[in-house]
Amino acid sequence: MDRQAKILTELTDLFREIFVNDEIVLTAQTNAADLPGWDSMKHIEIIIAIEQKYGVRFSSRQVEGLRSVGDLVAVLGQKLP
Amino acid sequence: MSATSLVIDFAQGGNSDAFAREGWRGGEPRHRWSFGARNLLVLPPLARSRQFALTLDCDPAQPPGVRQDLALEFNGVSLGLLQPRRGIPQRLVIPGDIVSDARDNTLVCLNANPAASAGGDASRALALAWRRLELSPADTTRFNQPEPLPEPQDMAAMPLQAVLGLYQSVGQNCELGIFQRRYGAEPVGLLRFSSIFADRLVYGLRNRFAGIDAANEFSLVAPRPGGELMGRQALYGLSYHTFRNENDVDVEAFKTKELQRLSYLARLFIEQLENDEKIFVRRGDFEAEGEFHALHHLLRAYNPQARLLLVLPAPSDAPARAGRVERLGPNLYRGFLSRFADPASVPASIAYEDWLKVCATLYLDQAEQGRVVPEDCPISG
Repeated sequence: MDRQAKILTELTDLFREIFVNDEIVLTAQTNAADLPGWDSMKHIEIIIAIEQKYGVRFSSRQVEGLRSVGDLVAVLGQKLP
Repeated sequence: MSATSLVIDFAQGGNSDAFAREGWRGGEPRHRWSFGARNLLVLPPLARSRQFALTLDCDPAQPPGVRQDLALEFNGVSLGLLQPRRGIPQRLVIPGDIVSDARDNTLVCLNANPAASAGGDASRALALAWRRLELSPADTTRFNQPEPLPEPQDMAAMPLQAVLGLYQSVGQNCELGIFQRRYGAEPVGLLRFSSIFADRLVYGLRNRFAGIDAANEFSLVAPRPGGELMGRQALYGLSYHTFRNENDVDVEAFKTKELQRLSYLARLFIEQLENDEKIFVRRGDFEAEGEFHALHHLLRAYNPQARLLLVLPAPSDAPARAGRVERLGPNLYRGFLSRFADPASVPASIAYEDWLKVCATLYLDQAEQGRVVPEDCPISG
């Protein structure tokens, strides 16, 4: 499994936990419109959970610039060693 | 020399003993009750101003849904009738000529229908739970030579989400945030859906909102049972929408998440300030030139290029100024709306067209200066 696929799998688990929904299947194209309840409040919850899980920090611009799960994977991939 | 403004803190340990004369109970941790039909406050002389803004932060004793009237008299002159609502500060303007700069001023509060007391003694019936009173100059005419900014010729061609995403609220309430949401712009912001008084904002900026996640300073309150939870952060006086209903969440678990969220948003807020990422917008209540410049000075301590926009209702004698923006100085602006939204009928009462015009006008100005980073946020709802 390549690095981005591994991150996507881990994020899927995280999203399932946050949204309390085991049916969630993330793809790089998944965005807020695809997931009921993914509003700006939930967005912050997701970012906080990712920061805690991976020990990274997102900048304000990065947080606002994320348009899809693919963006999230890409930014996260850059931050991880 | 007379003071220029006054803040009364009615909480236990506050300064209200110096002003409260008739009809007041002892201070409680967060507030102080007035009782009976008449309450008197004696206020010190205040330096002359064309007009003053009086802001009252108090909750009625009557339960929600029961109207409670409050009539105010300042030095014997009637200021009109208010209907205080829970959690919503009341604000009115006092003509400067009835405020004395030489002798004490009196503010009389007349309670038409205080809540019945347990013992049935109407003279002891609780009236209002007071938290704060602010009286400050509200002279909007003293900015030196404001420069009107040109209005955009074709707003429809502008990237709306990027335009609106450029702005970040620094209070006084959620009107800007709800306006942004209407057009799909969802910038992440600590104060986006919050109300915060001017002095608490100043305090927060001075302290970088340290300790905002202290559990003992935070509470979740549902004004209507089962309804939306409001977050209350006492240290910085924040009251904000959570957009979550009491019946839909585990309140204790949600509280833990909210504290994390506040801490996180405070970090991002500081970052936005330090990186000059946003134009910070204050809705009203910083009308006095000195106060507004002081706020800008505080923002500039984070970044010398910090931009600040004060939004006010257009003066009654110049309604055509609604939607327009003026440059008051370097990175300092003032915009006008035809009206502020009525808190009781948000979002319907928001002056959307005026807000759009103000935001688009200043965006255009910033774009011409090369100070716009095109970006929008994909998260909606």
